[in-house]
Amino acid sequence: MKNNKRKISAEEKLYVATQWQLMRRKFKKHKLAILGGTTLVIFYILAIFCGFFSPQDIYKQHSGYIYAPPQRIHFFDEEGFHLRPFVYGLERKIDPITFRKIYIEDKTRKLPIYFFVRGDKYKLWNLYSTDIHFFGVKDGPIFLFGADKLGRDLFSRNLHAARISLSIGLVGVAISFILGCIIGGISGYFGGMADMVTQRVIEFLICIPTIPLWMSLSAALPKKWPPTKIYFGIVIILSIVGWCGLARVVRGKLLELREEDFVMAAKICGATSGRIITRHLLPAFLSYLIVNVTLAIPNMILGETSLSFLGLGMRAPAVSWGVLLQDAQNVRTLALHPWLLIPGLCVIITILAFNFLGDGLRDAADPYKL
Amino acid sequence: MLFYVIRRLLYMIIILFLLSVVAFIIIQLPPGDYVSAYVAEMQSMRGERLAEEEIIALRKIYGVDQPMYVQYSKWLLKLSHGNFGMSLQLQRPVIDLIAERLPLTVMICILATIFTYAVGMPIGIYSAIRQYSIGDYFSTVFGFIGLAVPNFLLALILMFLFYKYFGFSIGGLFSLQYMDASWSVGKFIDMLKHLPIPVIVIGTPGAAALIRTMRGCLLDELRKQYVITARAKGLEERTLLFKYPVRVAINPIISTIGWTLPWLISGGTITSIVLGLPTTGPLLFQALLKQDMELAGSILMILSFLTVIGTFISDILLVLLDPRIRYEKSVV
Amino acid sequence: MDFENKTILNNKNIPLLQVKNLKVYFYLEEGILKAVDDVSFDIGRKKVLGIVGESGCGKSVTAQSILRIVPHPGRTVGGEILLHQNGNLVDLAKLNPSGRDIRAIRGKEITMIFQEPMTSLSPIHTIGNQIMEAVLLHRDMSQSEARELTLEMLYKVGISNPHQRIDEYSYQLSGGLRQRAMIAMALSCNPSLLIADEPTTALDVTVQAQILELMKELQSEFGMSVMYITHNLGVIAEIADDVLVMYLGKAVEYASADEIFHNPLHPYTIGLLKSIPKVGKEARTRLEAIKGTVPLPLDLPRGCGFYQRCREAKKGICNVGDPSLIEVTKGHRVNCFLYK
Repeated sequence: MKNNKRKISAEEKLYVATQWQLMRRKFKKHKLAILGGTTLVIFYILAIFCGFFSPQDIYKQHSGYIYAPPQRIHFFDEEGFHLRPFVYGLERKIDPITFRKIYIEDKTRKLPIYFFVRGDKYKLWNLYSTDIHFFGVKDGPIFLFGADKLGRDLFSRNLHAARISLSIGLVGVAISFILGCIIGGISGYFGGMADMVTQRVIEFLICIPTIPLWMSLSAALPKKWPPTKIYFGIVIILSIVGWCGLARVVRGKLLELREEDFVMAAKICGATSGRIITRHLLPAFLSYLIVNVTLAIPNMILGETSLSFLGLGMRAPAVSWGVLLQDAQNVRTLALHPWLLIPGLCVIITILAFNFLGDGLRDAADPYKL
Repeated sequence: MLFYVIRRLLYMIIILFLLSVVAFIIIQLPPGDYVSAYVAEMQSMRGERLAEEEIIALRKIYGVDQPMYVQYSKWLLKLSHGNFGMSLQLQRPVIDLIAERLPLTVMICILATIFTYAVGMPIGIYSAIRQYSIGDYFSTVFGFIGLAVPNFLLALILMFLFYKYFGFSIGGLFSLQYMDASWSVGKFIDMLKHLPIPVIVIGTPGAAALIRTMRGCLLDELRKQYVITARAKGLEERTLLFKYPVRVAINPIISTIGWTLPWLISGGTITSIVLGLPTTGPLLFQALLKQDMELAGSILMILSFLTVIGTFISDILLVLLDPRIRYEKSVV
Repeated sequence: MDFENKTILNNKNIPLLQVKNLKVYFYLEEGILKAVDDVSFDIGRKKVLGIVGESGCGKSVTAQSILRIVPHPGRTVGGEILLHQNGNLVDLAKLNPSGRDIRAIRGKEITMIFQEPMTSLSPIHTIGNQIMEAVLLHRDMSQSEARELTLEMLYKVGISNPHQRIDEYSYQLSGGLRQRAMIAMALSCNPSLLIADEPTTALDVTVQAQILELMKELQSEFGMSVMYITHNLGVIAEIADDVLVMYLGKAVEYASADEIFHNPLHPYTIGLLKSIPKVGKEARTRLEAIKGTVPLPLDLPRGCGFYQRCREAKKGICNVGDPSLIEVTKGHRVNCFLYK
């Protein structure tokens, strides 16, 4: 009997669990989504504290390390295993045949990696001046992702680029989201003429190819603008197209939810409209919106990267992944220095992570579907 | 049905009108106007200083002293006569520049669409029918990667790989000797050799997305009762799949052919810039860099109009294919 | 073996279909779900067998397993499904579910109609197309002959203007008309067995009665056997010759319709009968309901599946051993410790 009771309760748990509990449970089952979520959390932490995590100043030119390749982190040398990782110093030589600069590992110069070391001065969030870096070597620079044509550290530059590229996605989606909610909400709530007009406007905007439109608009941004202004200009340009999709989602879901049986059921039970909205509409609605927002962010990031890559978006001295990729435009340079493509890899990983997360959230958002 | 087509045509005219407004706005967007740009250029390039009266006279000639709506209607009138203005930078009529490059743009677009559907649909169908098989797993991975790698990066990576491992550059649509040559069999064959890379680059993200949609739609359909009905009838499995669920699942996908066009043209633009293809993409890019807005606005308008036509065609196709919608349209 | 077959075949009383110890299991992540567990029954020629039970008791899976269209991950893991077909004996359970042999039987010898007339027809093909497909598949007919036959069938199932309806799509028809079209499709190849899986459940009450009436008429006209699956005992009383009561994938009682209604033995059957409202019963008395709900047949505890809901349950007996189907009186089998 005891056994049976437990069985029933386990089954009944499914029926008494709140919607959020069910969503969390279902989300946890989605391994790729967990992976994507974790990756994004790490990326965003690195981006927020990019000054701290970068070993070097991003504008400092190390003239002896022009196009230096990425250094490998070692744990073993001829003496065996070391708990403290280290890199070998780079020695520059001239290739006798091609007369190109080449770098080889100088096995005699072992540079141990220390944590919380003092290095270049930087200002965290433009507020606190400090020179503590998460990691670094004591003498000389370290190039985990190699160096660019001016001998600047690409690892640090990638981290700083992440700050712009990742945040532009969030800010852009936030603006699109607000616009989408207001316009989609009006369209779905009032219906009729308002709905007709907004739907036609959205249809119209959607049929304009996005990248040419973005290019045309951002080319019109004054060249003299400082990076911060350009940043917001680009966010707004990206949002001009971005809100359309979200507004459609909001409207569609509103129309659908209005007709749902459970809303009617709650009404019949005498629930107040406040309660209907918070207990019944919001969970169903919000979860759905979160999914769509998650899947909209990669588009924004892609938009910024594409524009900056073409030189129509963010411009040096600002760094974003797209700006960094400008250096990779020439195939010949790229063939010699393939690490210039690392920012592209970062973009791909980010987009993949957002898609995995979005997929997991989508499954979780519909917890009753098996 | 006829009524529906007419209504859609009318709708298309309205869209075309709105597109012209957008194009006009874009042309007007950069600070200053044509005359001030001209004056500045005269000053910087030739050191000539124009007198105040001369400038005013110029403003009158070019009509930039009139209110916006007048300028717009004049511009629209010119457009209706096929006069898209002059490219400042290239000193040639915009219409000629676009006409030179549009056929290739459209051809690459159509080929990319064909590639997208030829790759996406069979793989999507396969992976739905053999759900959880190794093939399904691979196609899912391909789908995700195709979705996450932006066009220009894919182009860049392919260019890099080809250059690094095969030692040649895959950019462009013609080899050097045919670049400026007139059309010949040799040039055509040369172009065919160069076509696959751009088509694959432009079509891959679409194909990846299509695999996912096709798989999802078909999986939904496979669970439906009518499939079991058909099976209970004694139909052979393959016949059954293609006659019922696959056809039902394909309908909404055919209908979205039109929606993929903005994506294709969008992706095609940036891919063409990276690969240096003689399409409208690089032309737009150069125009924007040089602030040659008359040209840029016209290209944007033409590209948008292409997608509008695409959507129109695919809407008509859908109505022909899906009796449910045909029924609705005939009633409404 | 041959000899045995002949003697059976010569006997006019042998049933059309014999299901013996059928087991259909679903292999799920959570464990093995025994959807049909050791079920046996016969369907006589020109007889109607009713199968009754609550949702999830395995009635539909039983029907699907006869046609071998059990959906993945379900599998027929044991038992025999013997079809006596003009001089031949075929064990359907042994056939390859996608092979030529079973396909020749599906839609020809055995046909099926389903619960959801809304979704059981393809939305993008005309009714005529779908019916003719079955005809062309199993009968040696030309396109125009098949169309003639389809028109005739549509007329027979009571569709008033077949010439118009034949070229219409399912969404243009009402639920009742769709179900009639399904019946026309099922009968177009003159089957020897029609499986009806809750064919009236999704319809309006008045339409239900019409469809039921139609099926009775057609059964006598076409002379086929019918396996009628429902949870509605009233329908069973009207149409069935024999009744199989199922609970949790097991046959709990199997007898003639008369016996089931006048002398029910299993506590579950008794409970079902008591839960039907009757005209003429004293007003204001409560209808008796069977307490609890059907558990999922996943990792069931030992003992009788009905133990937790049974009024007559005896601790120490019913939750210890598994009861088995035994014949209490001639032709009346029950699966309960009360009748040991």
